Amino acid sequence: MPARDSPLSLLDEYGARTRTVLREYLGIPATRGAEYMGDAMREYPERAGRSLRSTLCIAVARAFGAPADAAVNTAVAIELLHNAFLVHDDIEDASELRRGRPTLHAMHGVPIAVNVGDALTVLSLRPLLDNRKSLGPRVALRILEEAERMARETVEGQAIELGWRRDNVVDLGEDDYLRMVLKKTCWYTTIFPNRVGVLIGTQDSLDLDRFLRFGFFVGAAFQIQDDVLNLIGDGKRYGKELAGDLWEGKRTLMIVHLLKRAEPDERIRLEAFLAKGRARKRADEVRWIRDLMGRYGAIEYSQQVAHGLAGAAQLEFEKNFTDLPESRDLAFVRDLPAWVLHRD
Amino acid sequence: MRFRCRRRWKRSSATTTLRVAFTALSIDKIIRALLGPERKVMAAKRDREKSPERPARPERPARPERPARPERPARPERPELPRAEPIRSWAGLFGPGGRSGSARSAVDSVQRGVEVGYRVIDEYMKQGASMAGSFTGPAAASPPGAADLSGMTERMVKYASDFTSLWFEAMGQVMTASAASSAANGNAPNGAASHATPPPAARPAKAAPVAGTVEPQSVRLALHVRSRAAVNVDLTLDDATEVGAAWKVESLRRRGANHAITNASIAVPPAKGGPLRVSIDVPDETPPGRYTAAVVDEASGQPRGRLTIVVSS
Repeated sequence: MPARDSPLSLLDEYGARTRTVLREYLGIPATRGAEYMGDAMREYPERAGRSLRSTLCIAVARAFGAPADAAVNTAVAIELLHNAFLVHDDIEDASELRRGRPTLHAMHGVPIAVNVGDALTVLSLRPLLDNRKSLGPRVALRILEEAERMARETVEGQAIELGWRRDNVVDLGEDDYLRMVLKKTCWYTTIFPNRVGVLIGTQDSLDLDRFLRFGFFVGAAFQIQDDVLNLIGDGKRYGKELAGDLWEGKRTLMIVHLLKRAEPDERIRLEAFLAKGRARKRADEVRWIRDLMGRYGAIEYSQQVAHGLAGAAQLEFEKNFTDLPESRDLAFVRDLPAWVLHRD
Repeated sequence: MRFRCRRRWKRSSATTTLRVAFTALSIDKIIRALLGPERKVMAAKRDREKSPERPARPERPARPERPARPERPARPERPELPRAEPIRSWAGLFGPGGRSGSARSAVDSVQRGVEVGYRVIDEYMKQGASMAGSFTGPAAASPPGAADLSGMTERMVKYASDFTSLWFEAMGQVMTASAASSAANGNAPNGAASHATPPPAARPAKAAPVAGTVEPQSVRLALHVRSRAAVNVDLTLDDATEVGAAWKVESLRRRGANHAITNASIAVPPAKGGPLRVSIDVPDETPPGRYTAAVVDEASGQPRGRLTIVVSS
């Protein structure tokens, strides 16, 4: 846990603040059918995650001079949408664990889980609409526009990854992987929280595209580290199934590296493994791929790429955030690239 | 040639020693030859002093032994540092990047990752820019300064629009509250005193008129315009006029031009039923065009409406 005065302690502070308001929105009484929806909707948000996205949004808004309250509604919307994505992702990936407990579809069945994901998505609109009261109609509308773009980019990224798995696409380079990650992960994890934070802090008076690079580099480093932790992380702290990405046939940077470096016979075996559905994969095959990654240095390679991207993120931070007065919030954003590499 | 000598000098320490000895002997010979016989005496004296057969000096009395110094604590020593030079590699920027693999390959991986990363995001941004260009059309090709100005103007219009809608919202709430309060006191218009107040969501958007105000449609207008050119006048009031309020017309401005008409005025009737007086004096040199200005309450600075005139050529 970070020290109280550490910039990263904002994750706890702003995370708690966001969850308080989030509970109010989740507590809005539903009409008939609540028993099949309400509790299930609270399931993932109550398994508190790191609150990276909501904290980034509030920290950036504050770094640009807005009070935290001005950004809380948007942070809540981000968390709701994030949880909605997680519910649907877990179904699409046939995942078994989420934040250390069974996934929602494993608990309630796929149909109810799909509906809960939809409900969380719909609910995420409410705090964005409520922004009208605190931020005015123009800024509220701009945030909605940004949210629409983020949601569109994210589902496009998810579609790319699902398509690769369905069609067993193996002819992939690092650039393909990063393009997919830019859409699937970076937009909703770092780019959107950063952009709306700036939008709120400046009352929409800055060009938001200048913050794209920072968000992309941090988000990509975050995703690569996440994929690495899936293989070598501490099972208890990681919260998801270890080596789950291999079981799910995800195209991680390690797999992309392996497909390039493996000997022809190994590549044939690897492609055959990736073509199988989860149910047909065997534990010894997963172990073999894990060993192959060790032999070809795929994990080390991915870590090095992540380090490089984090370095590029720091450079972009220096370019775009330097004129702001020093604060804990600014320090948090500055420390973020290093944190995404060292988290566990 | 010189370069070769230097290399030999560096390579062999034996060669170095011989050279030094040879040089010392040569110098001694040269000195002796130069100094002559008198100097030879001095040289001989120097030689004698060097010789071991000098008479022994009388022995000095033995010094009293000094008391032994107290043992000093061991001098602190700097611990061995793990490295003797800074780490200047991308791979180590945030700590160890991996357990195996050479530093060279690590740098290559990092460099490749960053290069590909920049290429991907730059391509993405270019795609976004070209898509935006296809939506905005020729305006996207205007110089940056013009684009900024256009953006600023657009933002100003947006701010004004926000302000107006917020103002409507605030006024709506105030008037609804007033109407509700009147209803609670049994003074509701249309004899609706005994009806319960509807929930906020069910309230009508338009509030009932408040006592002391005049409905816009009942306002009489007295218009005075002095102009050489033909002028069309359009006065829009956002809400009912408050009897006795002090309003003013801001400078009438034409979009994209500095010229302004500053002597327009508006006077609210001092008593119910009186005319709203608007006076506009268009200077002779005023360029033709559409001029607009906000009508604002002098006391609160809040907008009450908008005055627009079109000056013909």
